[in-house]
Amino acid sequence: MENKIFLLIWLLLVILHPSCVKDLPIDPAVGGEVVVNCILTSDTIQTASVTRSVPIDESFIFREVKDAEVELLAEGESVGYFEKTGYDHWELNYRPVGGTSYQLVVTVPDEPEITAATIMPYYNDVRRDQARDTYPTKNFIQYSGQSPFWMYALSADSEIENYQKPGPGVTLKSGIGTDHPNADRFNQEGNLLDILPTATTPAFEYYIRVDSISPIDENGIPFQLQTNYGQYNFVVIRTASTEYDQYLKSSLQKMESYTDEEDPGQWFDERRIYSNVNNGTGIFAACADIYFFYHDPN
Amino acid sequence: MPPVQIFIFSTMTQIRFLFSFFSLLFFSVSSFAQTNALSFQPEGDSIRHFELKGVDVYGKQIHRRNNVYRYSPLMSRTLISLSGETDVIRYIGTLPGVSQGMEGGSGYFVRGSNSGNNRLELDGVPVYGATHLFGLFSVFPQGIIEDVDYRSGRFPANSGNYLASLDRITTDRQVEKKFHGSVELSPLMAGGSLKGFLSDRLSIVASGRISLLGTEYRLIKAMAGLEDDVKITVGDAFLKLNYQLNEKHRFAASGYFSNDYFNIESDAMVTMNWGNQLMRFAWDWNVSENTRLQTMVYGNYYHSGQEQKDYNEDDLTGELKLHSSIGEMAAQSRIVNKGDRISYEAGVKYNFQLLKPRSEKILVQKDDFNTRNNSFETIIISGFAEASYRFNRLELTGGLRNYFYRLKEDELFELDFRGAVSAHLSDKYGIEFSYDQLTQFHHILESLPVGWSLDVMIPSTNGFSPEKANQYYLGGFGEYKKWIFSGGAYYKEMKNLVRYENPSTVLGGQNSDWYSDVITGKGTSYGIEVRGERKGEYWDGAFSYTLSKSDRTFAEINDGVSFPFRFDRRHMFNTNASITTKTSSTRNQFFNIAFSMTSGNRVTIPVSMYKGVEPPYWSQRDRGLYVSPRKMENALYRQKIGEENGYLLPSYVRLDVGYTFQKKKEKYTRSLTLGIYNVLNRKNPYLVFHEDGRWQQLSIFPLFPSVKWLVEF
Repeated sequence: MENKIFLLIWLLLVILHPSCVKDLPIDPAVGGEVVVNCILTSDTIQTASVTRSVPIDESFIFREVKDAEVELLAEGESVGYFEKTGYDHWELNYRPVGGTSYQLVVTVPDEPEITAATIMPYYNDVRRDQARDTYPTKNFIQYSGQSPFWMYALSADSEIENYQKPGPGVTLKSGIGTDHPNADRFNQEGNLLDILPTATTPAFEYYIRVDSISPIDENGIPFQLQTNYGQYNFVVIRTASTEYDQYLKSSLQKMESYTDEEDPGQWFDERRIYSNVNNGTGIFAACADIYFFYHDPN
Repeated sequence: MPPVQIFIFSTMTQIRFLFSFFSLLFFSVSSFAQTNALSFQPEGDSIRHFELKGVDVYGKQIHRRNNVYRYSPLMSRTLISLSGETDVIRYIGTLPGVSQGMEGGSGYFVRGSNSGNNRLELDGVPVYGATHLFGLFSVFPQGIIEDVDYRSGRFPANSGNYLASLDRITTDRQVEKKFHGSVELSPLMAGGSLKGFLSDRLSIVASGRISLLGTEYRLIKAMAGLEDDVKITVGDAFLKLNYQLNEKHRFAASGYFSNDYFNIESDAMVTMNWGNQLMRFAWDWNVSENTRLQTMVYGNYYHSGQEQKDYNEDDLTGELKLHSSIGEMAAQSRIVNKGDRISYEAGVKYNFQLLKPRSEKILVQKDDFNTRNNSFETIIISGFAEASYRFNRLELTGGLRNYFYRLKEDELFELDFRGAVSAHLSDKYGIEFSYDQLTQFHHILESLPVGWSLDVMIPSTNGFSPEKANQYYLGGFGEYKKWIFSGGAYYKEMKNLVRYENPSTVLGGQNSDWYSDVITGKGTSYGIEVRGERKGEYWDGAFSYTLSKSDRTFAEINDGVSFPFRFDRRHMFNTNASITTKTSSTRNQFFNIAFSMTSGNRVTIPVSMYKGVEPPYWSQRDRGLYVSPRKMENALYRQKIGEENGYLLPSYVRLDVGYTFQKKKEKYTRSLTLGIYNVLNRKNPYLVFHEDGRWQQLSIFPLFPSVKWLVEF
C-alpha cells in the first residue's frame, strides 16, 4: 500500500513540477504621460520632441501631442517658442551661451505646466597633442575640467564632405580606449589589445565618460584615445551638463542589462533613467562639442 | 558579456542550481522513499506508555517574555523543510515580526530590517555565512544544539554589532556520562553526532554532515546522459571538548567548519564557494555561589566567492571573480552576579576584524584594469554593564554598551542604551516595555534578498557611517490553561542603511569602485505582534500574527520620498502543530502540520515606455559588435520604472504536512519523517517579469516531498 502511495506522489510530482512560470494578471495601465526631450547644443538650431508615453504592453508608437507651447527661457527671460515642424519634432533658432541657466516650459492643454532646467556648460579646454600621435593613438592634453565630458571616435574610409563636423558618412567606433586617469569605467570591457594588437589601454564600448576635475595644473592632463582609426577621423569631446551626463550614463547602463537577448538578468532590472522634467518625464539638458578632425592617409 | 550580466548569469545559475537540486532531490526522494517504505512495517494499534527521549515535559510552566523566544531543536522538528533537514533557523520564520525572504530559503527580515542586520552566534561566536545550499537550510546541525535564544528586542548589553535580531545557538553544555548520539540521512545530507565523557572530567560533543548531492548527480548524470559537469561539496563539522577542572573552573575548546562548493561546467565554468571556520576557547570560573566570571577568546573566518571563466573553444578568454571575506579575532570577559533582587553583569570585549570585499575582472594574459581589491582592518572595543532589579512583581533592567571603533585614522565612539520594565499584574499576566538602541559597524550589500551567503560585507567608513536603530516596544504576556500568550506593539527607526542604488548592480559591476553603486538612507517599521503557544500531552501548537508597515527613504530613490520596504508584508500569519497520533512503549507516530499565509512581498516594475534621446551617433555605429534587439530598443526608447516597490505580489500561502514514524529499540530510537512542502502546490511568486508581451511570475518551489531517517542512541 505504502509503495502505491509513494508511486502516486511520484506521479503527481512529474505532472506538477515543471510549472514554475505562469502568467500573472498585472495591469499597471500607465501611459499617456507627457514626454519632453530637449538637448541644447552649440548649434544654431535647437530641437525638442514632445510626445506621450505608452503602456509597456503596447508597441513603440508614441502618441502625438498636437497642441503644445514649448518655450525656452534664459536666466528667466524668454528666448523664444519652439515651432512644431513634424509629428514630434519642434525647432527653435537659437545658439545657447555657455554658463547660462536655461528653463524649458511646456504647456499642454489639460495638463499641469511642465518645466525643466539646465545650464549650458562651458567647453572643457581639451587640446590635441598631435606631434606624438602614432597609430592607433591620438594624444590630447586637458587643461580644464569643470564639467564631465564624453568622448567618442568617428571615422570614414572614403572622403567626407564636411571636415568641420561629422556627417552621415562617418561611423561610430565600437571599441575605443583611453588612459585618462579620470575615465569612468562603468562601461569598460576588457582591454583594447583584444582587437588592436598594439593598443595599451582598457577598452570601452562606444563612449568614454570622464569625470569633472578641477583645478588642473598648468601642465594639464595628457591622455590618449586609441581605436582602429580609418582614413578620415573625428574625435569628439562632448562637455556635458550635469543632467546630460546623468541621462546618458543611466541610459547606457540600462542598455547593458539587455546585451544578450536571453539574459535573465533583465528579470531583475529596475534601473531608472535619469529625468529632470517636472510634471512629465524625459530630459532637458545641454552639451557643447569640440570636433578634432584627422586625415590619416596611411 | 558585461560584468553585471556575468554576475547575474551567476545569480541565475544559482537559481538554476536550485532547480537542479530539486530535480535531483525529487528523484532522490522518490527512490529513497520507496526504499524505506519496504523496510518500514508498522505494528498494530496497541497503545502502551512510551517514554520519549528529549521531549519537553508536559505541564511544565513556560515563561515567555515578549521579544524573547527560547526553543529546542525538538520544536524545530515539527516544521517541514524542503530539504528534510531539521533546521533551528527555519523556526525563526514562524515567529512574530519575521518576514521571510525567498521561498524555501533561510533569509529572514525582522521588524523591517535587512537580513544582514541579524546576528547569529554559535556559542557566542558570530556566524556570518549561516546557510548551506543557497539558503535551503542552515549550517547548524541539530544533533549538537541544546537550545536557541532568539530575540527581536529586549537585547542584553553583552551583545552588539547588529540592528535586528540576536540568535544565540548554544551547543550541548551538559552531557550524560554514557555516550549518546545520532545518525541521520536525508536526500541532501548524511551525518551524525556523538557526545559523552572521554574521562571523568573530559567530555566531547562532535558532529559531522556531508552532502550526498555530488554522488547523486553523478549517478543521475550516468543514467540520464547529462552533459554538464557539476561538482558539489557541502558539509560541516563541529567538535567541542569540555574540561571540568574542579567545581569552580571549567574550560571548553571548540571548532566548527562549514563549506559549500559548487562548480558547473557548460559553456562557461561557474564556481561558487562559501564557508565558515570558527575556533573558540572559554573559561568559566564560579567565583562564588552567585558570581561567575566568563572569559572567551575566538577566531572566526568567513568567506564567500564566485568565479566565472569564459572560454572560446578551449581558450580561456575572460574571468570574473567576486569575493568577500571577514577574519575576526576577539576576546571577551564578563562577570555575572545573580542575586535575589539585584543582578548585574559587566564586561569588556576586544574585536579585531579584517574585511576584504574584492572583485576582479580579468582578461587572460592582459593587464588587469579592473580590480577592486580593498582590505579594511577595524578594531572594535566594547565595554558593557547591565543591572536588573526585582521587587515583588516589578522588574527593571538597564544596560549600557559603549563602543570604540577604529578604521585606519577614523575613530568613532558610540553608546547604546537598553532598558526594560516589566510588571506582573497577577500570577499569570503582566505587561512590559522595552527600549533598545543598536549600532552595527559593518554593512552587508545584499544582491538578492534571499539570505544566501553570497553578499558583500563592507565596514563603516567616512562615507558609510555605522547603522543605527532605536526600537520601542510595549506589550503584555499571560497564560490560560495550556496556552501562553504574548503580544504588543513596536516602533523602530533605522538610519545609515546601505543598498545598491540599482538592485541589479553588484560589486564587480559597472562602476570602477564598489562605493559608487552604494547609497545610504533610513527606514522605519511599526506594527503589532501576537504569539500563542500550547503545550499538551497529545498535541503542541503555536501561532503568530503580525500587522506591520516598513519603509525606506533614500535621497537618490523615488525623489527622496519614502517607499515600502521590499518585504513590507502587511499581514503575516503562521501556525504549526504537532499531534501524537499513536503512542506505545515501542512506537510513536506524529502528524505535523504548518500553515503560512502572508501578504505578498513588493517589487518594482516598469510601467510604460517613452521616446528617448539616443546616444550620440548611435544609428551610425559600426557593426563590429552585436547589439541585441532589446538593447537596441533601450537605445531608442526608455522604460519608465514604476514606484519603488510599488507593486504588491499576490499573497503567500503555503501548507506543509509531515508524518513521523518512531520506533524504539532497546539501545536506540529510529525515526522516519515524511513531509510534503507546499502540499497545496500553490505557485507563490518569487519574482515577476515581462516577456512576450505579458507579465509572468517565477515560482521557485511547487509541491515538494522530503524524507529523513534518524537514529538516536
